[in-house]
Amino acid sequence: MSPEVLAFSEEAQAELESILQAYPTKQACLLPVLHLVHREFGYISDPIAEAVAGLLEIPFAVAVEVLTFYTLFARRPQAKYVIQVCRGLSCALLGQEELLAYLKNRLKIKEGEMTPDGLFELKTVECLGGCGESPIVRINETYYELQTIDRLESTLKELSKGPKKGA
Amino acid sequence: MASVVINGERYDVADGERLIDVCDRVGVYIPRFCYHPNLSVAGNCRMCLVEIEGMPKLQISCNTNVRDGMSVLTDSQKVKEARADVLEFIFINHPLDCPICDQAGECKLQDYYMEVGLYKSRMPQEFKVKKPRKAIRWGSGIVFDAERCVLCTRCVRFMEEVVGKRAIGVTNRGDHEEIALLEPLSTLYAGNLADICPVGALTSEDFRFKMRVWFLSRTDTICPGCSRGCNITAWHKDKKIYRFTPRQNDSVNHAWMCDIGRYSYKEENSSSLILKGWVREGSGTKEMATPELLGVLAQELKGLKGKAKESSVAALVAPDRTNEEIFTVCAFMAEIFGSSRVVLDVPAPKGPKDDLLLTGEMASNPAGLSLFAFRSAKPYTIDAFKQDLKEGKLEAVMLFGDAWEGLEAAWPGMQEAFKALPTLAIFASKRKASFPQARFVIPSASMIQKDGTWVNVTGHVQRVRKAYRLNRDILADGESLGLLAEFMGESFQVGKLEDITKRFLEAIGGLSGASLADVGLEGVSLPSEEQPKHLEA
Repeated sequence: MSPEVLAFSEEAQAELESILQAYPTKQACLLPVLHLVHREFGYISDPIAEAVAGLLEIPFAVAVEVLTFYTLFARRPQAKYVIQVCRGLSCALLGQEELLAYLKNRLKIKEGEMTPDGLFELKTVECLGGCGESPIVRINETYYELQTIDRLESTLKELSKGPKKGA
Repeated sequence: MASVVINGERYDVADGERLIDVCDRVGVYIPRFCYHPNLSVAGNCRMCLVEIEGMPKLQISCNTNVRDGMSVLTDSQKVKEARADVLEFIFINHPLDCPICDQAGECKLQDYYMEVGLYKSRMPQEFKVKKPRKAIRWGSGIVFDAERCVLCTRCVRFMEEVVGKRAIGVTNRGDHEEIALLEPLSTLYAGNLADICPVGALTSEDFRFKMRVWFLSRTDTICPGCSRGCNITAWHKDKKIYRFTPRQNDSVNHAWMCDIGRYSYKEENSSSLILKGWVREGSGTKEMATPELLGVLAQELKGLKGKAKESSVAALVAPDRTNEEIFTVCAFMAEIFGSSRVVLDVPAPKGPKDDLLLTGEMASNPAGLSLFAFRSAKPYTIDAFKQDLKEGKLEAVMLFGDAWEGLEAAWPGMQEAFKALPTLAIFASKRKASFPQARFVIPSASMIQKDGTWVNVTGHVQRVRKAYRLNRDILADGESLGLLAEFMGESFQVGKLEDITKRFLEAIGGLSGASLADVGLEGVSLPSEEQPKHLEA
């Protein structure tokens, strides 16, 4: 509704146009538009969902229903680095629990929490499909395979001082 | 036509009718949470499973249309087991807190558990998914309890399909699914949410914890709120009404009613009613038993009988009186005073109007009043009455009814104009209707205290039923007028309600020969050419 909430980049705006062209009704565009918005803003809060609903001329309730059905849509701003520890069978057998305990201790946060500086967020996820290289930790979109506590520590150090890159 | 066999009995039904509707009609019982005859089919609760010959799996009867030759079993072992299993799934996350739940006694979950459940829970309390959102006030008189919800989505569909506002949604997924209010309800129909909720998830803030439903008596009657005449059930105990709930009638209100009507029960309780009549003497008033009061009034009226060509007595009937009362008042005026001075075109008070139920006429029987007025070739109009009043032709006026706000709005100097009258008597039920100018205020039976019929806005004649009488001073208008005549030394036979109804229906035409029994629970419709004419304007 309010244009400042949905301030798209030029590419995103173009993609939005093409999504709107691709489907027969505006309601059918909801999921692709949510993906686009999630990518663009990193999260979809209520005001953003309301803006999406306004854009697609659907009730706010319909947008929220779809949005909350999928747990991978973040509802609040995410940390710069979202650390996802795989708890699939292979990873569990090969030391996932130690990794998770270490990360909790190192970052002083629990699962689902964010460090106060907004740099790291800790999550556990179901099988990431990299069982051949277990245990696996995914940070944002990057897979870190065959992880040990030492390797994790050096990655964390790297990321803490590393160049600012978008989440 | 289709011929179906249900539990071995053959029934002829319309082709394509819903199986669950057929079962309801022929009296075969099928449990359900999500199905509601006035909402779309969701088919999500799975309680209405039945066995259909030729189909390997059980089918939900709400989303199955009958076809010729179908053979259905609704209480086979397979069906019973399936119901018990479905119920067990629903119970996984439902607290067993009936003793502190306001829905107890009218809860589907409770009923079905007693019927097909009765197992020991395999899901310990501590394993249940807690939805710690309890007693959330949703506004518009609705309270929400997340943990009691069975996600039937009746409320979601009601808001979307009936109210036309997608205010409620189902958020999250799986075990975490939850009904959520995503926009303010802000509708005059929110009260229906508490009615259609099959469990204790949505309850009425007004009725909550006031009374256990099994202590209440029920009287099927008509909502007095507006001229729609929604079919309702009045729930009462010890001569006090606790709530109105809508009663299914697809030719009037389906299964709904508005909140204005719903909460109007408060005005039908003793604190709003005139319990004892009074007469104004000098600057003060004197309470009197009704027969005594009518005796005093009779003395004043006695001298006015037939003085001139037409007596100087007039009557006004408000648009909230029953058809029988309208008829009786006209008969009384004609027989006792030889007067046709009965004003029947008293306008109904104005109110909210919408496309759903509310008509904008906030009185129960303006249609009956106008239909009866049209019967007369030369009706005594409100303008003629005003003229007579101005010219001093009238010495006594009797007012019957409570709904005078419409008249007062259309006639700014009304109270002032009545001041000059030597005798003004009002037969009213409600305190708010007692005019300050009235010399006599005679308590008249309110809607819950009398029998009769009303005609609704579409010309549907419906039955109002008496549940109780608050005290002996409150009389139906017919009884009061009979006594009044007696005290005047005249005889006026009121007759039985059945006869008056019959004569009224004859008088308005269209339903000649119809009787009170024909009106029954669902009412009868006037033929289209006899529909109330005041609406055409």
